[in-house]
Amino acid sequence: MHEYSVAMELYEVILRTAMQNNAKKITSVDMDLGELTHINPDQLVFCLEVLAKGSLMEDAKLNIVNTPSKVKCDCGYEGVFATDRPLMISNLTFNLACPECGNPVPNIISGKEINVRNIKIELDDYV
Amino acid sequence: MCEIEVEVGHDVLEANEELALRNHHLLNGFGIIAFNIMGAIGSGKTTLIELAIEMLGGRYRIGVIAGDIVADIDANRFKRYDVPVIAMNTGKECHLDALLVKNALDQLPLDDLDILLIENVGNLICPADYSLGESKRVVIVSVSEGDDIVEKHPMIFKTCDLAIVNKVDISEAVGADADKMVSDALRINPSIKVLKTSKKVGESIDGWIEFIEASMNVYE
Repeated sequence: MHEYSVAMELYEVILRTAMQNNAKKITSVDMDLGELTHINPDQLVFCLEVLAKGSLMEDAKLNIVNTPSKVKCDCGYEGVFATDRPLMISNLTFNLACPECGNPVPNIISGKEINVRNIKIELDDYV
Repeated sequence: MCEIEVEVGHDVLEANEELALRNHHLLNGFGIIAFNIMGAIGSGKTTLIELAIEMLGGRYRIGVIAGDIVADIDANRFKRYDVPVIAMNTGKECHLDALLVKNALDQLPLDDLDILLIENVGNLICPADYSLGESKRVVIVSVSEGDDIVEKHPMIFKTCDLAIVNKVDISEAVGADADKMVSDALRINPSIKVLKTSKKVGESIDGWIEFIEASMNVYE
């Protein structure tokens, strides 16, 4: 839903990091995107590509890893949600319960990441 | 030419959480209880905030942050009650975030407030991901959105303290089962408090006012 504003924040962090490290260009960006966020990966990449035009990031390869949602429940269960379909916001509805005991509000321990893990940069020859 | 890898480790939602926590500490320092009021367009957020100001304004000092693509219209409705109002024109944003709220807090007379009512942008999806520094999270839906609106938006109900099913007086006219909406909310989040309200049925608003009053007790 809010891919553009998320892309703006990621773009600013990526560019700032690249410039602080005297990058000549950014060759790749590794990101994690949790499946419980309301962010569409294709739209996020599209927004980042639009923002990257004319910048150090223009030719960078944008890698997004979709991180699965995991829960830790009071019953002791720790792991993924049980589902027979790919877990998407569109078919989540009541599937967010603990698959072991049925507790509808287990602690979510992963799946909410919108994270830039690292970037690869080419260094300026003068440095 | 050499290529190196640089660790970044910046998480958008974590960064927002950190800022939200700072807002929360700031509000705590002034003894202010903040309510993040979320819900779809037309669900009745502005009206329920107006009713809260009318019914509690005599006992508590209330401030309002109105968030919208164009926030002036709602802000002007609140200004009629002579309370401090900050209109946050989010421009392109579909939700308020902790930074926007921080900017609003800088402009509010925090010394003179007990309650801060934050009207989020009309949307059931994006605001679910963003904390603002509030003490209580409230989601409002109306029967005219269809009685499957709750089960279609589980994330926001998971994260809220109070769900309000509004405009129940027109349930029959729009063919919606308000009780189904209540039970859906409780299935998604058994610890959520759920109220059925309608501006047309005055006493149904009491639960909303009592919820705010009960939230104030931590400082009394």
